[in-house]
Amino acid sequence: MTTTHRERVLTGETVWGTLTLGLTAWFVAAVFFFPVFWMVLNGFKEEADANASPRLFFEPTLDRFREVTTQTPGLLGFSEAFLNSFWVVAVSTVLVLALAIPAAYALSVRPVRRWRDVLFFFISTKFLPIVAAILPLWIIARDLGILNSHLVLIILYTAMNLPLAVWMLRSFFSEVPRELIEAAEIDGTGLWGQITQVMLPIVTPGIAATALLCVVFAWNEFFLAVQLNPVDASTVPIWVTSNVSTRGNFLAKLSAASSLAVLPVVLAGWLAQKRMIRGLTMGAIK
Amino acid sequence: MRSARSLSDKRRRVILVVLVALAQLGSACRDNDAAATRTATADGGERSINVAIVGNPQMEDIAALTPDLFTAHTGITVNYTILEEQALREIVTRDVGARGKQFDVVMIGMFEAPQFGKNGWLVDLTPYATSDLDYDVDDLIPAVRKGLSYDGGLYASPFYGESSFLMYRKDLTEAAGLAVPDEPTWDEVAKIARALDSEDTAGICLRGKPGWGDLGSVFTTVLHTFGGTWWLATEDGDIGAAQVDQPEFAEALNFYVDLVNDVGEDDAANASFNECLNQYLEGKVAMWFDATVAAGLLEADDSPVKGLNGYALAPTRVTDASGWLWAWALAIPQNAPDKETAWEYVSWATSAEYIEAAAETLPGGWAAVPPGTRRSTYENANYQAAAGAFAQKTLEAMVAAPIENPGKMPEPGLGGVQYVGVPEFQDVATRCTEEFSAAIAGRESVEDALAACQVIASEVSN
Repeated sequence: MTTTHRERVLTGETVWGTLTLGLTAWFVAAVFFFPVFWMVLNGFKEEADANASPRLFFEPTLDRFREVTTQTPGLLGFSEAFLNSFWVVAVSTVLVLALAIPAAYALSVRPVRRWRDVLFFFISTKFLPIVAAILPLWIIARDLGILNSHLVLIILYTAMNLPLAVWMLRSFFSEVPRELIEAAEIDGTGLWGQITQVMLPIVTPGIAATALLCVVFAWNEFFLAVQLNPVDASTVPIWVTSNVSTRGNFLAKLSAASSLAVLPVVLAGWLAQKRMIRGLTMGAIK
Repeated sequence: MRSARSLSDKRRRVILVVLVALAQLGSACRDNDAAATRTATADGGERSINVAIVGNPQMEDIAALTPDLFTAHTGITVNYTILEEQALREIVTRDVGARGKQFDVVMIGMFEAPQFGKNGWLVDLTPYATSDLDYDVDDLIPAVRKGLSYDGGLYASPFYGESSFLMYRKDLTEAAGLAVPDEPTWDEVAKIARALDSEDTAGICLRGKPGWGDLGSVFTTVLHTFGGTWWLATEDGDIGAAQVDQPEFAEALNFYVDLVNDVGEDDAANASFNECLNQYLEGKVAMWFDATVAAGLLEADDSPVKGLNGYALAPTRVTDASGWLWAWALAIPQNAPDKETAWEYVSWATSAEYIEAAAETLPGGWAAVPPGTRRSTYENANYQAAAGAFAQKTLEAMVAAPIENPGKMPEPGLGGVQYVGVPEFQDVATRCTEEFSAAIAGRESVEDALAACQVIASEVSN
């Protein structure tokens, strides 16, 4: 499968060009990966080592991981935060997909009237900085009695991710050949059948990519969580910041907590890597 | 194709193992939770309270000790929410101000306590404190009690208190043949810092990170003793004309920026308490002006500079004293549903009894107890032995803190040394210290920073 010189010339590649691109890609990857690597490394250090001038060699310890996972009754613990995040993220992502798939269908396969305006409306809901809306949101949540509950975050994360999901899924749905849908119609397949039997199998990678992005955004969301949900149903980002101290060092402890916090997202990304890349590039080719 | 599938299978197996491990860990911890809850109810109590506290070693200690030392005896379950300082301020301010009813007890600072009390957002603790003999209100350090009061009423009970003083490496000053006075002036400190400055060791560490509680608190302390102020007070005590364009303000900022630029720490524009602490522990700075609580960390058993330090009162210029006063304190919001239960907790958490019990229970012993709240702590022989190097100087600094008249001019709002006791100070000082920090970093001139800050400060003038 090696590329011959003739093939490379035909595709406009040169050895130097390929080398430069390759090195650039590695450099950019290293720049992006280094902070994560340093964070994980710090999690295995003593506080004094983590806060001293950077040094590569140190005596690794699991003490910081033990500290952050030790459960104190009455305090938000690792397991409680993870479980809260799991429910909030899982339910909001399922809701987003359940709402975004029919919406995307209505905007791509059988476009409703003024579908461009509708699409613009969806994305316009992201124009307002969330900080500007936080007080009304808090008052509504207080009056509805849903402060400090899973429900308030599920509603808001669904709303937060829905525009993105509709836009992404619409572009994936537009890729599906019309002929397939028409053929299904001729065979007498109803709307439900067209979506579930014809469309969904083709756009599964796109749905997986969309779902993963929704999971990542909801899992990492801090602002709404800390403003509306700091007491009973707190999520992982709040647990991570509870390791910050106003007086005294906390970098190693915080790094250990952050390393654990990103683990589920990294695992989900790893699991869906192949489909996600296919999904993310699907809508790019027009 | 086969290798791709086997790789995929392998990947799935690894993920499965990790997920199972996380689930096991989770269920183990949940069991602990459930057990703890059962213990609390088995002891006869069904009462529980929500408490919001700031992340700080002493707060984390009390959270860990509460089940054994409080819940086991009272049956009251305490659910803590530990928040980062800025998040705590935002959430607590909104909760107590807009009747959120999320918390039964909140931790607030000395900046907020009198303001919230004045607004009628907090329960006046005076009747509880004076009638509860176990609490012993007269044992509170008077300056701290006054700082948490408004119009004679105590609105928050101090859990932890601090002042500010000068910490310096006695071994370095002695080697250089220099003596740091017990009550130094800023001119003396600058002279000593310049003499101690070397390639390996900066002369002094002063905060340069933007933020009203970071650079803002140290600079405002310096500003006050230079005779400057942020605003004049109107006749009715409101915010008057901005004073950033006055000579005293310019003199204080020029002094601060010059000192940091000449002999200050590395990366000064990003340094706050923790950054200075680390540089001091590493021997990279010879002096440090900051919170008295730092001394406990410098004299800790694992500190590389233990026993090498001297302490002096906060440096002055034209005022007699300049140390700030700060406390984290527990308050009960007006809308708390069960104030008696809330007080029961506040009384215990801020009592001399808790301090003694914590000293007996914590691995750090007396050196780890919350300092700066009660006179009895400083009279205790065990505490004096554990914190002998800095205990007396801390108490002196707290007693001397000029909270009611920190500078030379009457100020608006309620008293404070490292801040001006008006709500507008937070925003103005945060925005202004961004300009000052840029001046420290060399991105902006002091003159431009002062001009920009005068405009910012004038926005809230009456």
